[in-house]
Amino acid sequence: MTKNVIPIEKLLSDQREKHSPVALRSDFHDQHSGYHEKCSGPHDNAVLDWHDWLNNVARWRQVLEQHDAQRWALYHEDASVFSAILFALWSLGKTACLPGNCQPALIASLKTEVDAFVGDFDGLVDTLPPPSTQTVDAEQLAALAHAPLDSNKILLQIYTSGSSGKPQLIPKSIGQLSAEVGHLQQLWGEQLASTLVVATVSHQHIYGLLFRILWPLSAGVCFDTHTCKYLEDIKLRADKGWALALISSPTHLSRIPTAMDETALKQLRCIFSSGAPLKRDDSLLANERLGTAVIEVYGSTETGGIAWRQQSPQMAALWQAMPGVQVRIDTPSECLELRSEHLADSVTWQLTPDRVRFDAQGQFALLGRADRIVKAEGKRTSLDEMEATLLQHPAVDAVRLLMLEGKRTEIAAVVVLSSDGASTLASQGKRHLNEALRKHCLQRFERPVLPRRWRYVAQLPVNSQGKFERQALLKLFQNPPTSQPRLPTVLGQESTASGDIHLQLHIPEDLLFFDGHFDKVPILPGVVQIHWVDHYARQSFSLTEGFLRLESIKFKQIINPGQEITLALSYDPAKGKISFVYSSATGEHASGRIVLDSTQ
Amino acid sequence: MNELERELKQLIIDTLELEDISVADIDSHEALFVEGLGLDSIDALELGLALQKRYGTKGDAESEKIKEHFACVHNLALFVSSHQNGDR
Repeated sequence: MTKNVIPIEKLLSDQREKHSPVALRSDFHDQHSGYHEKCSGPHDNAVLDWHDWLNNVARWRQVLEQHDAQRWALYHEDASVFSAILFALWSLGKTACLPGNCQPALIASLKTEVDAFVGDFDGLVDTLPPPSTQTVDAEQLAALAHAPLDSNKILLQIYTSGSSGKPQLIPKSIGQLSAEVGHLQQLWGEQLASTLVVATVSHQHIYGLLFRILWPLSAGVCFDTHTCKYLEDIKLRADKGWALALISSPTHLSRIPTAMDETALKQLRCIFSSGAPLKRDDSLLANERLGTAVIEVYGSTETGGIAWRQQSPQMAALWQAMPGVQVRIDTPSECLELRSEHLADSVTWQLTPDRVRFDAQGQFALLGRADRIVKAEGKRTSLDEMEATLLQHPAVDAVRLLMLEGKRTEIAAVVVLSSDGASTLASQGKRHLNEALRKHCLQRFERPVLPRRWRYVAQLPVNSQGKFERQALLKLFQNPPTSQPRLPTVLGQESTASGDIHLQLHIPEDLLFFDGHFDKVPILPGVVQIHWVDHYARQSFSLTEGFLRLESIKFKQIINPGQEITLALSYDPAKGKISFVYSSATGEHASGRIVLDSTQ
Repeated sequence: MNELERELKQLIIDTLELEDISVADIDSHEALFVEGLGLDSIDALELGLALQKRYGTKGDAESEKIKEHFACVHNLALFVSSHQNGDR
C-alpha cells in the first residue's frame, strides 16, 4: 500500500487518485465544513477525498494570494481546514506560525510577531474571511499543481515554551518536515496503511502536525478532522468500519477508561504516544487494555523526532534512534547530543537538555531534563530530584514542582495524594501535611529550598500533549486562598413552618473582614452582613435572580468577633424580596430587604 | 491575647506570605525558626526588615541576642516594646 506515498514537497504537484480519502468528518453537527456527501470510504458518507481537498487548498490560496502579508498565524481545530490553509500558505511561499493553543494571552502576544491571522481564533482577533465554496476552475487547480513548495525556506514556525518558561518560535523548513515524514513512513508505514488516523492531541503542536496531518497526507491515509477529547470517542469512528491508528499521549494512555468498546479495540491497528515518556507500567497496561502495544516517540519541537521505543512485558525498553538521526552522550554534561536530518543543519552535533545513559548497543534511557535545575534563592536545586524525593513519601501519589517568582524565588508543589495522604489531610489538616512533606524533603534539601506553597489536587494539570502546562500550574497559586475564614461558622439551621430559615451563626475571631475594620475595635462590616444574607438566601432558597437593590436597611447594634448571632431569612417569591434580621440575646443587630432582579 | 503579640503574628503571616496558617494557629511561645513554625534564613531576613520598617527596631545587635529576640512571638513582642519604650 506504499505506492501512494508522495513526499510533502510534491504533494500539490504529483498525481493521486482523485477519490482517495483524505479526511473523515467527525463533527457531524457542523454544517459549514465544506464536505459533500458521497460513498467514498468504508460505509461512510462524510469523507473528504483528494479532489475535494485540493479544491479547498486552491480556494484558500486564492484568498490568501490577495494579501501581501508574509507571516500568518494559523489556528483551526478542524484538521482538514487547517491542512488546506497550511498548504495554501506554503504554495504561496508564505510562513505559517502555529500557536499551541488559543488562549487570549498567547494570541495577544502573537499580534507583534505575525502580519495577519487566518483560521478560527475564537473571535480573539480579526481573521481572513474564509473563501466561498464555489467550484474552483481548472486553471486555478493547474496553478496550484505548478506552484512548487520551497523545501529550504522557513515556511513554518511553531510556538513552544522555551526552557526559560517563555514561549519561543521554532523555525522549520518543508525539507525538514518531509525528511521526518519519510522516516515515519519507513518505520511504521505498513501499520498506518489503510487506517483512519484518530488523535487525542492537537495538530497545532509538532507531534500532532506530523502524525495527524503531514504523514497521513504523504502516505495517502485518511485522517479524522477533530480531536478526540476522550478515548471513548474513538468508538464513533470505529462504528464506521475503519481500522484505526491512534495518535495519543500519556495524558490519555495513562488514564484508559474501564469500559472501552470491544469493536473499537478490535479495529485498533497501532498506537503512538509522545509529548512525555509513558511510564512502563502505563504502557504495559495500555497494551493489555487496548490490545495493541504503544509506540513511543521521543523528540521536541526544536529537534523533531529523535528516538522511539516499544515496551514489552519481558524487558524494559530503551530508546533507539530514528532513521536519519545519530545520537551520543556529551561529557561532562551527560546530556544527549544528536545529529539529525530533521534539523536544518544535519552536520553539526546539537546538545539537548536531556540527561541520558547509554547501553552497549547504543540505545539509551532518559534520566530527566537537566534544565530542571533551578536556583531557589541562589541555591541550585533539581526539581526532578525533589519530585523523586516527594514520591517516596507514602502520602504522595504524584507531584509536580514549579518555581514561583514572587517576593522570593521559591519552589511550589502540586500534589496528588495517596489514600494515606488524603486521610491525613482530612484528619490533621493541610498545615500538618505540608509540614510532614517539608520535613521529608529536608532529608535531602536545605530548608530555604523546601516548597513553601502546597496545592493538593485530584489530578495534575496537563494539556492534551501530556505536557505539564506552566500556566495551568501557576493558576493554582494565583490569589492564594487565605486561611482566614470569610463566612461565619453555621452552628445550626432550621426552617420554620412558614418556610423561613433561621441560621445560628458564630462569628470567628479571625474572620478575614476584621482586618483593618478596625485595628483597635474589630466590628463586622455592614457590607459583609449583606453579603452573608445574599449567600445563605441563595443557598437556602435556590435563587437564580440577580441582585437589584437594598431596602429599609437598619444597622442597630454592632456585631463583635466571637459573638453568636441568629440570622432569620424569609423569601417572598411574588415580590422577589429577601427579608433578613440579625439578632442575639441583646436584641436586633440589623435588618432589611434585598430586592432581586427578576429580569435575569 | 496580648495585642502586640497578635499584631506581630499577623505581621509574620503577611510579610512572609505564609499559607494555611492563621493568627490563632501561632503559639506565642512556639519556636519561629527551624522547629515550630519552621521559618528559614530567608524568612529571618524578611522579618527583620519588616520589623525595622514598622517599629523602627534595629538589626545591629549581636547575633546571639537576635537569635533570642527572634526565638518566639513572645520574645519578639518584648524586643519590639523595649524599642518602642526606648523611643519614647
